Amino acid sequence: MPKWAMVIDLNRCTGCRTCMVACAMWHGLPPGVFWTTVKWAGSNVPQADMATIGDYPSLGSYPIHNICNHCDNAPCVKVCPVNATYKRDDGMVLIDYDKCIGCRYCMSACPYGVRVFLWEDPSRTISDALRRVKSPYPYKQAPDSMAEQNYIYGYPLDHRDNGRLVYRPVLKLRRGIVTKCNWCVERVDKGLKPVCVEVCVGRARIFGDLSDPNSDVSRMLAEKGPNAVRRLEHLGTEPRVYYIPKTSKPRILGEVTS
Amino acid sequence: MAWLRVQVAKFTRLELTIIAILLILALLGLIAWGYQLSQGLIVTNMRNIFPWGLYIATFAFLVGTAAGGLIVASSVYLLNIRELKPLAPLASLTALVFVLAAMAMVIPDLGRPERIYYIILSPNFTSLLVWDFIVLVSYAVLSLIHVYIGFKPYAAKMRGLPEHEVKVIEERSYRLGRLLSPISLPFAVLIHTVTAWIFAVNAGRPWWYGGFLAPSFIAAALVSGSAIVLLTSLLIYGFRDELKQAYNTMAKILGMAILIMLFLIYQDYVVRLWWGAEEHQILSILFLGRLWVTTIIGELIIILVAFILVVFVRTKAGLTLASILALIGVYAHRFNLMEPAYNVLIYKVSGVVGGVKVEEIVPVVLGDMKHTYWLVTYWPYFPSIIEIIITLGWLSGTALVLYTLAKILFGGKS
Repeated sequence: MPKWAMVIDLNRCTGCRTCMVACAMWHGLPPGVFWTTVKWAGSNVPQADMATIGDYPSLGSYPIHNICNHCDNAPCVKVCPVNATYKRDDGMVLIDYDKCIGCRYCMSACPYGVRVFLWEDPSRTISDALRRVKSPYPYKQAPDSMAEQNYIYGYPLDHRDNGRLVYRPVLKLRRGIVTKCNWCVERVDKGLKPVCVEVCVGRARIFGDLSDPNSDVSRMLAEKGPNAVRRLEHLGTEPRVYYIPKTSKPRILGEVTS
Repeated sequence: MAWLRVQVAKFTRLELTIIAILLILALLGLIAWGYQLSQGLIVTNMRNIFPWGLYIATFAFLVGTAAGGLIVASSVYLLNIRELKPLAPLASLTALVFVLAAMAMVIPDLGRPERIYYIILSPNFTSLLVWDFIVLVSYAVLSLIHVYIGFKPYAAKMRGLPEHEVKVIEERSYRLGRLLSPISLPFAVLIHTVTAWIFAVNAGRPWWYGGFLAPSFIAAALVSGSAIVLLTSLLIYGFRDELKQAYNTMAKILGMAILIMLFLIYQDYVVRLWWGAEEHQILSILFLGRLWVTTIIGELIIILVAFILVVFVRTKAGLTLASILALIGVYAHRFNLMEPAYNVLIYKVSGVVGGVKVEEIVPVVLGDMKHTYWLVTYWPYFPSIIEIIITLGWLSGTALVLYTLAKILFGGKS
């Protein structure tokens, strides 16, 4: 049984947000919904996500990643009244889309704010957004040659974990349920890496098996272990995502300490 | 038909008008719910950063109001407060109606209400929502039994049984109530405790987390619960001479409850004021932000006016107004439950820029495309018009059912 974990090396992150976009494309997320975010510190002005902090001449910024921590002691798993959110043996915290009643207790319990509720049908969000930008092409579901398998052209098939629906392109889901980062379970179960790890240009995100001492994450943590931090560790949620703070000399971009 | 005519004759013209208005409001609420079902919860103003709003605040309010009913009813038997005895059946009825209303209030909050049966099919027993469901259902059953026991003497009187037989039935009803109350009193306390635990276990929300929430919920329940019992008895039985003693006692209970609640709320504010950091943010949201209306006017001034009325103006008008004000005050207090919890985010990342240490709140994805921004750390929640209509409809339905049932069951001359 693998013990999945993720390491985000902030020394290598350029803040390009490829991970966000790739994740949104892979999972068919509607506009305005992201399962992982990268934000530049200091950009608190709406629409200006790349602002700086500090006073001239010592201006700077640093990237802030947010992704589901797949906690070992996950509050969302403990509070879900119907067992829709559950923790798999390999450490993944997954949501059964067929079971979620949409009570949003998990969103109140999660201290990281990574959970996303489908407030309206994703297909409607997409068509509304297209209308807003005056797109000449209205949103249309691609012709469905494999309708019974819920296949959409350009997106993977549904993925079930022991019968539980843990992955379906979100634009195909109906409103009223909670979704979140599933560590690309549909890829990992086939031996692939999560899509944000696959696309990262600086190889800042690393995914692997903690129980295997030769895996990328184990070697990375062995090398930079003492520096690695987990978010909100004092709450005892035991996250599985490790962050490696910047160790280089503080330059214009700034360094992340925790 | 004849039965119906007899029942309608119990209502005055004014009462029938009010019932008609309540019915219209309840129907409007149902229509608004239909609209929400067709559009999704996007029509509310809740978002990812603010996942619970007016519906859950109202749910907490209704649970508290329900708890008061059996606290009054069972303390009649348990603590032997004889003068409250005539109010006991009515108190049980408020408990029954309000606990059902509380459970109904959760339904419009669900994204997928049609799947609610999963809570029975695959319950997760570490979730306090499941435990809340269990205690609320048990409480509903208990208060139904209490209503049945309390109604028996009234039924005997309605059937026109001779005086001594009614006396025997009354005595038996009293004994049964006495037998049941050691179970129902703990449940009355338990429903609000478990409801408080739903919030209080979340270590990620400093406004909720800790052991303080449950006692403060109980105190608020005592206020709203005794207020609703007082109000319904005043409306159904009237300010009759033989009941003056009972109203006096209820007024005393309400006054005491108000004092305890205010004490609990304000000692908590003092403790939070002392430390700083997130706790200061909570207090500034409560007192300096938009919430000053509910904090200073609702939770403090209105409640204090109710207290003054309860102590000094024990007339029919005074007590009626006092109980209505107490209910409004507790509702305002419940509304305050949400915003300081969600708009104070503890997830921060610190870094060093140019040698200066800075701390940034990690933002949350908002979840809609109606705005030009999509990452937020603050959401100025105010219930949308649909949320207000639905909540108003549910509350009107509750008042309608409670008043009509109380009038039909206990409205006859005693």
